[in-house]
Amino acid sequence: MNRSLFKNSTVNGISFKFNKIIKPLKILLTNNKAKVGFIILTGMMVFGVLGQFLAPYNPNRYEFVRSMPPSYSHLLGTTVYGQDVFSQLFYGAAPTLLVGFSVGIIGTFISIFVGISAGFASERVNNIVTGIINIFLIIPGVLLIMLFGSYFLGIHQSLGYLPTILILVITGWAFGARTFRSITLSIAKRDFILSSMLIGESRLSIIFRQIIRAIFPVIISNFFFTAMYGTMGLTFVEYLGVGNLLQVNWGTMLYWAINNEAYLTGLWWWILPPSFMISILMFSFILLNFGMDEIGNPSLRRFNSKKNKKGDLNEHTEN
Amino acid sequence: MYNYILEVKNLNAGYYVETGFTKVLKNIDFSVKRNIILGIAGESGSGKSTLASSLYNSLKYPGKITGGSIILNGIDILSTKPNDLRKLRGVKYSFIPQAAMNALNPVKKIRFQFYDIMMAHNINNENEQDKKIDEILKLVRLNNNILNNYPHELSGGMRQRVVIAMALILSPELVILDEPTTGLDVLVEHNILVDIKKIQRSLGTTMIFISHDLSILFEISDEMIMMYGGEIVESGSYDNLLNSPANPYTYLLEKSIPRIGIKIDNNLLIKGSPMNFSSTDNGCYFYDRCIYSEKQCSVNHPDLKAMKGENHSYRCSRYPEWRKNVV
Amino acid sequence: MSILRTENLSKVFISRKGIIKSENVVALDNVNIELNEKELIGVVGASGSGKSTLAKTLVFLYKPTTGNIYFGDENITKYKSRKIKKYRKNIQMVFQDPYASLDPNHTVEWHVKRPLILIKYKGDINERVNELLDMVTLNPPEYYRNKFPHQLSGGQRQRVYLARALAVEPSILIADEPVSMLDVSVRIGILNLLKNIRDILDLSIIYITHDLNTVSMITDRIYVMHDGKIVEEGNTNTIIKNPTNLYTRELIEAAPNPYKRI
Repeated sequence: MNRSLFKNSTVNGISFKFNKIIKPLKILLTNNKAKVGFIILTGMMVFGVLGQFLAPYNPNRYEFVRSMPPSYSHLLGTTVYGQDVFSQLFYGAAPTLLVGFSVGIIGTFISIFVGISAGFASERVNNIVTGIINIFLIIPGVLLIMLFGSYFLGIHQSLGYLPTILILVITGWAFGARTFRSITLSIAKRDFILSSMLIGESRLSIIFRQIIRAIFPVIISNFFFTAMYGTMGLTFVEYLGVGNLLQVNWGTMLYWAINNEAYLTGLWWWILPPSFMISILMFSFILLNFGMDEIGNPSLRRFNSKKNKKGDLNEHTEN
Repeated sequence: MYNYILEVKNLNAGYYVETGFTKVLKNIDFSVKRNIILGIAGESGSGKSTLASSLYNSLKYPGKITGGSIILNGIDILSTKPNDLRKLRGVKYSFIPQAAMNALNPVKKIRFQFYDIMMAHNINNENEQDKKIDEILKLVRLNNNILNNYPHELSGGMRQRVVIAMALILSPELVILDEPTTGLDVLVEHNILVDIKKIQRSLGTTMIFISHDLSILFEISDEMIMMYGGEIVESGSYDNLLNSPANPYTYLLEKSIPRIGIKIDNNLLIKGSPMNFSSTDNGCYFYDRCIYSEKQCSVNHPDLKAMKGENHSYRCSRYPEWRKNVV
Repeated sequence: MSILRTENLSKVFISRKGIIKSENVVALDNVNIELNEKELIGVVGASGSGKSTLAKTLVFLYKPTTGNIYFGDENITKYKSRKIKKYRKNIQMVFQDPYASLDPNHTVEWHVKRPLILIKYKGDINERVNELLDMVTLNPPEYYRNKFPHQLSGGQRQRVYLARALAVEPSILIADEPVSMLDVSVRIGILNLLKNIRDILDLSIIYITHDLNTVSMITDRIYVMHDGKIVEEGNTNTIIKNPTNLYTRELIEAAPNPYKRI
């Protein structure tokens, strides 16, 4: 291949960036756990997007025969209020995923920022930030959720899911920050970072060029962990009743189902589907989290002796 | 009584990797006489550590022994059941793995770690236990006070001596030492080597000493095995290997050991870096780094040949011609 | 003319034992060394003798407790961050473990290019990378440029690291046990390279090691360190032939030698 031919063309630039996205994905998919998790999660996302357009009935309408078991016209039956369970499940997927991902992304960003700066700054800054992280770890999350939840209860209507996301981010970032802090502390003492300091790299450059790349698998794994916390947290917030109960998501579905004692009155079609979907979603997050762990930490890997994959991922070590 | 304490026949082993299976040890064949120190030398990637753990049948996933037999005093340890193997280990033969001195139980005093070993092999009488510990500590030249210390309170050299004592306490007939002095100070290393040799001579224990450091192996061994690319390239008495090597690799490696007061001949330096295991099976593994190689070396894989009338075998298709080029 | 000199340099580490108790560990005790221009000196000592602490203090990875460091005529002991950065352009260090000193996520090219960008090298950077790789005998450079550290052997990695350090164009190089982790067959190659670089680039090199065998091969003068103190110094050959200090004598006796039976 004549590389110099494309050296400055934009086509090459784009494909290069494309490769940068594709390659981690390919590595992710070499791991079986991560692969299964990825497929489930993608399926969930498709389900969520389709649900916004293709739900058979309006999930908020109370117009059907009450407490009907599953039938052809109501795939998962109806609730005691006469709502269509399948439509609620279908429509409620997107907000559930959205909250999970938002908490994952925002929480991870905060923990990267706090954790790395604590791990790579001077000892005094490290001590102060570590103290703050520890305080957030010690504060019982439930208490904060109740407190913030009731505070925001009045203005829920206008803010949508923002208060919930906010609460979950506040209670969920500290764990990741602690992980990043300790990893950064150990990496900062490694020779290749000392070497960069010796040749005159600035701290910011070291953070962005080397530390973030070195801990990338941990970042991804932490993202899935925090996203899991977000999804679970949403269910929890709604279950406690401190969220906006008029929103349709899997958390509120469970709240109403449990409050109306669906498990006692035999309305299994109301309580099982959201529980099942949440479990599956958690499962996919956990699989991705484990998979990322194995990718970042080769000693956990097990190889299949019979499979002999050939491809650009085969990088031999030459020593 | 068997002539050899340990016989290794056609041993093959390797590792599972992402792309399949990589063979590391290829048809390793050797026998160990009683009451000697056998040195096994090799650079990184020569398979010496794989060989060490294979000999103790302690090679763990992703490593796997794929064939051959290891016969210790007439018992094939590769086909022995795990339970029976446990009874042999420590009693008949013992193994000091790499960096064992850093693997002592950190929360237990040394004394109790000694007790544990003996109790595992049904020596429960306390007087007997203490007597054994006394004897063994005298042998490795450690003070009895260290028994009440935790491992982190001891220096590296002392910990290594403790590990050696633990390996010897049940008086095994064979001890396998994998890089026992790596990471130690030069002086400490020297003293431990001297003591190891003294212990070997006084107890008559057979020792297999595995190291990447050729100098200390020549200093201590009675017989030596050179490994390269997962196979034995030369074996024999240390004197034969040092003074009349038949394989160019042995010769060149020995010539490149820095020594006080010796000028290194730059023409004899080995080019390139140690081989990796994914190379092809054709030809001599050392072909591209050897300054005495000829075209035939790239095609014919040499067999291990025995020197007539001598305890010396080698793997080189150009011996003895290449010796003529040695100035 | 000395290019680097230390005057009664001391370094004391405080090691905490529990909450209240703490213990002072003296790593360097009034060390006086002098490095002349274009000189290759050796610092020899067993582990724990403080030789690595000395190296890290000289490049300001540790701050000295007392004593002074002179670079040329200037006392640089009290330098603060910006001046330290400037000073480090003159002094580089080669680490012991080539498996840890290269970033596993970056290519050989990146490792050599970064320092060139940071010193604002005028001229063609690509050309210069090739030149540097060529200098450390990684031939052909194009073959190695896009390799990642894990695709290289120990000796090759140490060469790459040397190229990275030389890219800064330092006048002093501190090599802390650069060959002790390498295979016997590649050690001499790296040592010869150090010597050649000194001759070509007129560098001053401090070679720190526990191995008297290699020191005797390449250095002009040596300092023998024991427990943080310099116990003997002088011409390499003289010291090795007639060691006056007991410790030096022990070290020489313990140096591995295949022709000497234990």
